[in-house]
Amino acid sequence: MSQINVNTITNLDETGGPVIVGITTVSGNFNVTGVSTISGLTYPTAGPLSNRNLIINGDMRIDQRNAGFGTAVGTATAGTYGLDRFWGYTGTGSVWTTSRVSTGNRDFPFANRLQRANGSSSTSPIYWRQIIESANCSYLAGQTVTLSFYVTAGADYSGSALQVNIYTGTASDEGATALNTAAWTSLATPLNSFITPTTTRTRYTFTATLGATVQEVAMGITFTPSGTAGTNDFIDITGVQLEAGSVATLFEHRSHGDELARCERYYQQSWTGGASDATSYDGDLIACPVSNSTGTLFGTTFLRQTMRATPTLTEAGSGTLSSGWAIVTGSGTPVAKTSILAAKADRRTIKLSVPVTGVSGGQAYTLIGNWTASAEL
Amino acid sequence: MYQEVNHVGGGRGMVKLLKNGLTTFIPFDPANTDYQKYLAWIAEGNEPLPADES
Repeated sequence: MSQINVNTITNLDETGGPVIVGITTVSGNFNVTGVSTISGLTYPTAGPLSNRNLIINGDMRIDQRNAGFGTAVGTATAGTYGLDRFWGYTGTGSVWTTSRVSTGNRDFPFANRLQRANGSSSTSPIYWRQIIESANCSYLAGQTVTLSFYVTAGADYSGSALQVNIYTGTASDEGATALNTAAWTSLATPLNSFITPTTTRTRYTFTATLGATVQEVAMGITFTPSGTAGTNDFIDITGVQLEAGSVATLFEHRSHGDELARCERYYQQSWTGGASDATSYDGDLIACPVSNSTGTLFGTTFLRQTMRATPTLTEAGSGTLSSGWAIVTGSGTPVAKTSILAAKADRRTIKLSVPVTGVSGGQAYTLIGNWTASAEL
Repeated sequence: MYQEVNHVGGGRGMVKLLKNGLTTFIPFDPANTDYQKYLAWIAEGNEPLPADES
């Protein structure tokens, strides 16, 4: 083995450092000093190198419920879910909408737009938040964390400064309603800062240190509008990241499939597209439920991801499926419409029993309808 | 208003809630936040409607 003993290595014209290629192994006490930038990257100061971002759907690409259509933010303290995992609530219903919008940018094609209705004079604030499941964040107890996101204000943005918060509690998964009513156990706000958004997309970063007994964490943005809303009284938020450490690293772009799977741990629905798309007999097909002698069909369908908890099931649909589910024969012709009598579920399956007349015991039928399953916090 | 649900074959594992014209089934899972609200509603002295005859 050859060995070179030198103090300094420079390039040929002695104007700077050399380009070193082909190094496969560096061993021993190898110290590199004087490097201020490596390709402009900022590396984590703590936490993992991958799966750093604890926020799910931080780039706003997944919108299972509305598929890009806006939905009104309600007054219920349980929150109104718009884009997956993000929810909002307000003091005055139907004034605010939450929607996924296209930004035209390659790095973040989507944003979550929070918009006050044009002409509205309501000055009720809007609260926009995401809670992180305790199983995914309790390791942050006692650590420094960094929250970062991008904001662009609409041309008519009338709001006050954005209030940016991190919330913590010392119990497990107490949920949105308890957070919104300040009922989390030992609720604390280790981050409470304000920023003034502009019409130029800007990244903001914040650092906070969490308590030593923290078991649940949420991030939130709150603002209050003023005057009468114009056409573009909104803000667009994207690139939300919460990570361990004291620096905001580059946003962690995950694959679309990965992000969707993460969202489906908390919410799934049987159809794609917005709520208005659950209108026809192309809904979820429950494979061959078999009727018993009293005219009840039984069907089971499997959830796409194991959910956080046993989900709440809701019959969904409008138009031709508005009044329930359809029983069809082999020809595909609906023979009966009905509602679900009872449902059972666990974290992986849905089991339905459906009363229907005119079916024969022991026969196989097809049950078609749409459902949502929610295990949100 | 909540309503009890009888499963075919016996047993209860959910309650039913009619809301916004849609039927919702809420499982008896302590980790489910809708069930937590149901328990809070019960704690206020309320009672669900009895299950439909099946």
